[in-house]
Formats: sequence, structure tokens, C-alpha cells
Amino acid sequence: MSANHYLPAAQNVAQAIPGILAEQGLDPLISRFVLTETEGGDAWLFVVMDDSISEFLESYAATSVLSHLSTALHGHPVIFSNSYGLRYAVLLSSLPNLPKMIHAHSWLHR
Amino acid sequence: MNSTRQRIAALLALTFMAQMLLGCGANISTINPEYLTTPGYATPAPGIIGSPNPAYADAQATMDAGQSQLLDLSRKATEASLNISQAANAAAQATQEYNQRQQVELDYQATVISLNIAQAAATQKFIRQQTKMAGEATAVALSSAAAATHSAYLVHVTQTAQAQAILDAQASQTAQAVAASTAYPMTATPFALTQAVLLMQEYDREQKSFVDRVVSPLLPIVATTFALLLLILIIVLARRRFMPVTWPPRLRIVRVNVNPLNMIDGVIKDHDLPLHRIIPSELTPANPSGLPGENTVHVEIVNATEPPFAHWIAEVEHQLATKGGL
Repeated sequence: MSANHYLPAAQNVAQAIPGILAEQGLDPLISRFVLTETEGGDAWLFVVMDDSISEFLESYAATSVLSHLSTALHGHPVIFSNSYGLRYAVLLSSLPNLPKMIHAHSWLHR
Repeated sequence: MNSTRQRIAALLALTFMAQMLLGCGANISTINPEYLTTPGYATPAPGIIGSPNPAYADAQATMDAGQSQLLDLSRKATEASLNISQAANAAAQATQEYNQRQQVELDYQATVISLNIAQAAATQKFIRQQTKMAGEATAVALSSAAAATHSAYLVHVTQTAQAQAILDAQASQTAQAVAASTAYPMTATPFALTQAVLLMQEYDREQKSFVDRVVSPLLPIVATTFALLLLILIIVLARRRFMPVTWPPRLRIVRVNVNPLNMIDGVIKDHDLPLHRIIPSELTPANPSGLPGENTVHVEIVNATEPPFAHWIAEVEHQLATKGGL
């Protein structure tokens, strides 16, 4: 899967995120931006933060900050991850659509 | 007192005489025991038979007379003693009365003094009240005077303001009159036109004179100063661009031997994590320079199946599934 068609959106998000963090009073110490697309078609932009923000981890991972980021990024889901590094994950693709109907008998005869 | 002393002296003399008479009687009894009498010379012993001796009778008569005289003297002494005691009582009574009179007098004087003290206290109280009333009256008078002064000051200020307003009005009217007198000849007659032209020429001459005397001498100074500032700015910019940077010792970058990062089982093992936290490898500025239309942010495109990114994706998908994401 190639993520090239998400590159313009990723660059827009990458340009916007430092300003959004600064508005929240956070120092935008960003190490890199990583764009990838899963086999399921989900495109993720990882905003890898510098390890020095670990001293203020609670401020960066606050729900209010994540909500503000998501709102500023037109509703794209934003998740903060702190395993193997500190980073924000922005889902650029649309949320996976759930099936509108599931046949009960097929589920029961599994 | 003198009478009392005389009475005491007389009593002592009578007592002495009585002793002498008793002494004579004792001598007679010693000489003639048959003439001894029973104790008590006032009562003759019963059963005594009178002696035919005239001397004895004389003696007896003398004794009787002496005894009667002694009794008389004793009575007189008793009376004198009584008188003395009475006199003493009288004297004491007199002294007591005198003392009482003195006491009454002292009481009267004390009463008078108390009355005087009370009157003095009342006088003092009255004086204090008068003083207090005078003070209050003075305070009221002072406050009234202050109020009157303030009112006078306000009146004065108001009058001053009115006078100032009158002066302003007069000045405005004067200015209007001057303007009218200046404008009227400018528009009314040819002579006024000539006057207006002359005035304009005079104004122009004054302006030129001002430029020549004030502005022109300053122009070279201003130009020289501007040129010097420009030269200094050029020198500073050239120095900052071409001269090597000499950092002060406290700002020099200290090189640190940092261990390289090792990857163990797909996880980067950082031996100097605190050091790497202090010195970030690559930082992105908060406000990236460049025009908004330029895509200056570098976004890496990686394969989702590669080890670190696969972990990242799995984690965020798990969080998205559990929390719903934001």
C-alpha cells in the first residue's frame, strides 16, 4: 500500500500541529513526521515528539489537548502513544465503516 | 491652780500639826500609864474615874480640846479634800467643757472648711463647664469660619472662572475682529487685494527666512549623522557575516562521547537516554519559516510492516478500538 496520496494531507497536518501545540502552551519539540498506511487502508501520521517532553508528559497527553488537536484538524482522530517513544498519531483516513447488518444465524452457526 | 496649791499647802500644815499633837499625847501616856486610853482618842474610855489633879484635868481638857481641834481639823481637811476633789471635778468639768467647746469649734471649722472645699469644687466644676462651653463655642466658631472661608474660596474660584471665561470670550471676539478686519480688506477693494498680496509675500519671506536660518544649517548635520549610522550598520553586518563566531566560554558546545544506538529485537536500545533527552537529535521549529504555500515540512513515508511502525500502528489501533479515539 502506498501512502503517497495522503502526503498532501499529512503535510498540511504537519504544518498545523506546531502552532496548535503552541496555542495550548506546549513547546512543539517535534523530532519527525512519519506517514504510513496499513493493509486495511488506514493512513496514520505519527508526530514523533522529542524525549525531553517526558518531564511534562501529562500536559502533552491531556485529554483537552487531544480534543483541541482533533478539533483543529477537522475532526481527525488524535491519539497519544507513549510506548517505544512519545508521539501523536493522527488518523488521516476515514474511520472504518462498520457493517450495517449482521445476519444472526450466520453468526450463531459459527 | 494657785488656789489649789494654797489649799494643798494648808492641808499639809494641818496634817503636820495633828501629828505633833498626837506625839504629845503619846508622851503623856508613856509618862502616866494610868492615863492610857483605849484606841481612838475621840471617845473616852468608859469607866475612867476623873482625877482630882487639875493638871490632869487641864491635860485632859487640853487633850479634849486637841482632839476636838483635831476632829475639826480633820473635818476641815475632809472638807478641803472634798473641795479639792470638787474643784478638780469642776476643773475637769471646765476642761471637758473647754474641750467640748474646742471640739465644737473644730467641728464648726471643719464644717466650714468642708463647705469651702465643696464650694471650691463646685466652682472648679463650673469653671470647667464654662471652659468646655467656651471650647465648643470656639470649635463651632472655627468650623463656621472654615466653612465661610471655603465658601469664600469657592466664590473666588467661581469668579475667577467667570473672569477667565470673560477673558476667553474677549480674546475670541478680538481674534474674530482681527480676522474680520484682515479678511474684509482682502475681499472688498483693490487696495485690500494689494494689501493681501503684500501680506502673503511677507509670509513667504518669513518662511524662506526660517528655512534659511534654521533648516538649512541642520541639513548637513543630519546627513552626516545618517551616513555615519549607515556606515556603522554596514560594518556590523559585515563583521557578523564574515568574521568567525567566537563564543564565550560558557556558551561553547561541549562534545560528549555518546554511545551509538543499538537495535535489539526491533527495539532501539538507548544507553544514554538521559543524555538523548537533553540533546534532541532533530527538532522542528515551532513556527516553520517559509511561505504558507511551500511544503517545507518533511514527512517520511514508511512501510507499515516494519518493526517499530508496526508496533506503533498496533498500539494506536488498540487505543482507537478501546477508547474510540479523539
